[in-house]
Amino acid sequence: MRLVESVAKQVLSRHGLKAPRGIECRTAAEARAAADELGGEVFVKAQVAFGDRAGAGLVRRAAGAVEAETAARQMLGSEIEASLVESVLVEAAIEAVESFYVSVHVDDEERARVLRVGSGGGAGYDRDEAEVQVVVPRHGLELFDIRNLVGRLGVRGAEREVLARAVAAVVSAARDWHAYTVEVNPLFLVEDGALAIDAKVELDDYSLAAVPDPGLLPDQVEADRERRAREYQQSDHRGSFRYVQLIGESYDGARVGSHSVGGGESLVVFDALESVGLRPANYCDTSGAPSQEKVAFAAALIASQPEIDGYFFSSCIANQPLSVTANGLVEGFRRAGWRGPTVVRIAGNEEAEARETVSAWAEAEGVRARVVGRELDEWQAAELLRGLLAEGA
Amino acid sequence: MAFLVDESTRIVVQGLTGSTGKLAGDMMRAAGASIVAGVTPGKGGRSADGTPVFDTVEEARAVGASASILFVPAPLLRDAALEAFAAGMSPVVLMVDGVPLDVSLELVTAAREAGVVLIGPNSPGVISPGKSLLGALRADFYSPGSVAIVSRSGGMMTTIAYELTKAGIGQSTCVGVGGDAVIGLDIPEAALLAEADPETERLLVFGEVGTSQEERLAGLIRSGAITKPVYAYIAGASAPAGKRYSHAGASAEGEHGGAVAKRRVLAEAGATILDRYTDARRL
Repeated sequence: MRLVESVAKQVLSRHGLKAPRGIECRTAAEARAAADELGGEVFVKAQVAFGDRAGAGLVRRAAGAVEAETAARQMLGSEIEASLVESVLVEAAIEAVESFYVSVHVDDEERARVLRVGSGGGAGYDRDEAEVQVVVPRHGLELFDIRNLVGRLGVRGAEREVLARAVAAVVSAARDWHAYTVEVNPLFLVEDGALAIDAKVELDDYSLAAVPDPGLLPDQVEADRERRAREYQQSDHRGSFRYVQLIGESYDGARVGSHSVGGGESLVVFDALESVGLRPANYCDTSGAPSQEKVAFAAALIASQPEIDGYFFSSCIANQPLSVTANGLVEGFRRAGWRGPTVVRIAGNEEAEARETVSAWAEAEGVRARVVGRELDEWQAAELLRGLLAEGA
Repeated sequence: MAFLVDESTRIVVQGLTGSTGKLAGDMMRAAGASIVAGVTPGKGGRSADGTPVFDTVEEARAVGASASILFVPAPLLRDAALEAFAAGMSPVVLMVDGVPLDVSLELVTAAREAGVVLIGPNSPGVISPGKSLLGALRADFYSPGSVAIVSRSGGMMTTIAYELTKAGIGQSTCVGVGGDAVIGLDIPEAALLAEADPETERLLVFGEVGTSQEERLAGLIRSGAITKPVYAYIAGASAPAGKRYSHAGASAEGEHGGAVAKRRVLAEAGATILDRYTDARRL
């Protein structure tokens, strides 16, 4: 789970690292009022989890309330990396005495968390340039260890102590919140301490029950369908079920509900759809012997997206009984009232029976559907869906 | 020869008496695997389909077990895995999906310190067709031969093996390293095993967005540590970055870990990039 900046900063604040005064706003009028309240120059920052916000013009300096309102109006409702901007953070602009980069990332080569601290920091900073890059030992890092490490950056005395304590906050947040990533970039040293100017936190989805303060995790970091999928998965553990919303309401190209069996297969399907100019509205994987009801829930969730033009289902050569999956699929289509162009590609166990189930549904409902098997690959099947969409256009 | 598992691999199934353990046990026997023991604490002295069941892995080792696969409930996973490492089982396969990050970090580190090859978590296992299977895979989609498959996806490994088998191309050993961000044996390490295996002539990799495994494989090719021909399909070139998909390791951050960058560095190192995995038929 990737936390938006405002929530990431609250996590860090629990560990003693503060952020500039800021107010989260959902409308341009709120942004104007917030800038008035803060006074002076402010930053207006789109609250989406990650992505190159600065590069996309989603972090802007505003001289006052009017500029803040304009910036917020332009940002709200825009889209970056398939996420919709639903709120902005209006934050007091800060003058730094000194600026740093601090992060703790899980490194797949080291199979451990790696701490990085560097001078400068800010947009475009390359973390591989950081002066301090150390593996965090299993037993953690003590404050004195960190004091020794940050000495490499040439800081001494009070500055060194402030920096060491800020770094310690990042290290302990990463450990206690079971995070893949905690990054503060930049960290400003100011007259009376340290401030996190920007922060990124990504938590492990499988450790959410173990975080120190679950109440801090807001609904807004997940799209509504993502939340419903996750909650369903918690109630029915048979097999995997992962849903990721990719396109917000602002997208107006041709889009496809995407449903696959297998985590690798789902990514293959994206490549296949792209090859014929179709764009997935969502990611959804139901695999590892899911129940019929789970597949039905997923299919209804996908098919009920108001603005999809077609539905694409594909499986890798799966062990799971695909007749169960097929029954779930058509049940979900019925629940959602889905009758749009549909391609279902079924490969693996009980393939023939599963295909028959979907074909019978399509015939009974008069749906323009193509039901295929392993004789066609994902690219050829995607071509069929493009054909169906073109016929209907 | 093959690598990781062969005819001489003697398997203990931790959790053989559970329903998943039984199912996987049947798949492994159908693939020619030699299962010498099951372990279920509290059920020692029984037998499951003729296989003796013990309370501890140490007792299973005493009857010849050398490799383990775990089918135990999530709360018992950590203890069971550490027990397998302590008893010197290698390889040890963890199929379970959804292991909390810090448990994975602990287990992967412990396996390294014990000198044990850990495959997973979130791995379908490893198969040397015609010889042995330590995992839950349909052996009939695989066939013996000289192409090694190393895959971050279990389903796609079987799918690619099926395509190869249909085209008359057999496999030496196929290993699903697991879809998580923190795993034991990874693609570069598996590739080095394939390089050292006299039976393996070519290596086929199914990669995807996220982690640095494919980039490190490219480094091994560049340095000459891998000399056998490498073919790679990298999924997810069109998957938006900044999202984490169902494989917990499948997450790119801008250029970092993106499929396009992975394809580029592998191609520059001399690997052959497949535009579709089905191009493997023409290997």
